[in-house]
Amino acid sequence: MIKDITFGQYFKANSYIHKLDPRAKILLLILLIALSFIATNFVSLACVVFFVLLLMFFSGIPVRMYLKNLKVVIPIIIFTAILNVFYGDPDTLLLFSYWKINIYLGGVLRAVFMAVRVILLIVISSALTYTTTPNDLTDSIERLLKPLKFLGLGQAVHTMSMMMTIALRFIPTLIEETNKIMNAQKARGADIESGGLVKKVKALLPIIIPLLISAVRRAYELAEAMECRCYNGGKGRVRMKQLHISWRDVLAFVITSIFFSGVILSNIFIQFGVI
Amino acid sequence: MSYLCVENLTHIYGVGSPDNKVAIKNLSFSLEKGETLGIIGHTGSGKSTLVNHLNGLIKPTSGRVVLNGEDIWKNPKEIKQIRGKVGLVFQYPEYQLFEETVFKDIAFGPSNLGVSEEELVTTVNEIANLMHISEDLLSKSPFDLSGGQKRRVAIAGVLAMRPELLVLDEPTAGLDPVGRETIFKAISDYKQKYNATVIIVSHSMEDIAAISDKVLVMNKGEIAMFSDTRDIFSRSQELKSLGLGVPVVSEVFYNIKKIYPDLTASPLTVEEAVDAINAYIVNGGVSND
Repeated sequence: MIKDITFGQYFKANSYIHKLDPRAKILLLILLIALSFIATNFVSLACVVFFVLLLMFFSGIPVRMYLKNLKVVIPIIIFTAILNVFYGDPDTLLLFSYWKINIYLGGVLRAVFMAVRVILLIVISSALTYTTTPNDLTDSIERLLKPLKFLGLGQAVHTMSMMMTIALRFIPTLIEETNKIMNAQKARGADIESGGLVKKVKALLPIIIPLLISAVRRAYELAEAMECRCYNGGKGRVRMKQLHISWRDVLAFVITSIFFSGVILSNIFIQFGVI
Repeated sequence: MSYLCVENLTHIYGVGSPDNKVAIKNLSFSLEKGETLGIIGHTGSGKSTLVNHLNGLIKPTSGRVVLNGEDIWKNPKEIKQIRGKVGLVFQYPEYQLFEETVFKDIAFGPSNLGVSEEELVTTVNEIANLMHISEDLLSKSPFDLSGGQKRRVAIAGVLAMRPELLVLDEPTAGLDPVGRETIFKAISDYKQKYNATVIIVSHSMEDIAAISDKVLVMNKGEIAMFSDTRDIFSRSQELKSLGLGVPVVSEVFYNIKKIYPDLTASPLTVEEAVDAINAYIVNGGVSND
């Protein structure tokens, strides 16, 4: 079960998207997410879908990796879809009626629309995390938030991004640790899989307690190791890796802008399938 | 039929995915009841994977582990029973401690196996005594103990299940000499008392030489050598070519033998070396070995 977590995982490849500047990627991600929310009819949504398909193709990540992430959120997608089925426009064709429940064509379309939207969100954010190393990611978040230092938040921005870097860094370590502790307790006859809910929760204690303790221990060790190397926050720190905006980033922005205007235009001029 | 038979054991991590990794390949060996086996090998040679198979924590990709004439995976629902019979002590076992008191932590294993309350008390006391855990420690929190004490409590937690096959993965890593001594003494006490079979994984050739009857040398997921201890450590060139060594005493003695060619003994411990040299001197330069 723990092995299935792929969210936030970097997938090494040498694609166009991989080579983009991480800052540009984050901005483009925000733009794309906005785009999938701005789309209000099926034509503009199709535009976004087409763009995301292009993104998937140029990211060099196998489609099954995207599907893996989607698998995790299937319940959320179904839940959103079911909820939206009941909120159809009553002016549209009535498809089904029972007692007080009326399902209109508008509702079904809306459900499909919302499901597609959720899928888009997942695919877009997976594309970012698959093609960007966690370090690049937090590094560029720090840089994008740099202007906040004019509000006196410079140190806070650095602290936040350092915390994120450390958190991401320790996800695989903690997963490994969990597996080790689970095996150790299983070797002592602990039964983790079977039993009712109460029994299952109780059975987790022998895993959670050692895990928490080791996380705290690791935190102390890391803090000490950082202090030994004279870490004192972001002040005066220089970068080992410099980021550069290249023609690729400019091209990516141009293409995205074209799609962005396409979506807005079809929102305005096309009245078909408006949700 | 031997007590423990490992037959053509193979394990591949991530079967079916393109980045699969063969951890162990076609391992076969057997062990008699009451014997002590030492496993040595490089980091990543598959020692831990092998050890995890012995109590069914991982399922073999192919091959089988036969204990007492029965395949341990014959009845997958009964695997918990096997885990009671085969006690596995992991590396740095102190990180698995979690209970409020030392007593409760040692009792965790046997109570999972359904041992009754009264029996639990006698078992825990007995094992605590064996592991040199004094009585006043039993009511303390395991997190207040010293490193060596924690290690002993954690090992006691496995011993309390009274396994007939005890498997220890680097039980003395990171301990001081006294701590090491205590643990090895306790293991051999346990072995004698319950007529148990012991398997020890270690990087310390001295420890392996001192405690084991047979030695299994792993290299890149395969068995490189498997023989009795004296035989293994007399093949120092072979061990060195695998990036391993022999006990320092054996190494020193090997060089002494170059100067005194008629000294034939191959001792594994300091005591044996002393005896061999004494005998050599008494016999006036002729080895009686």
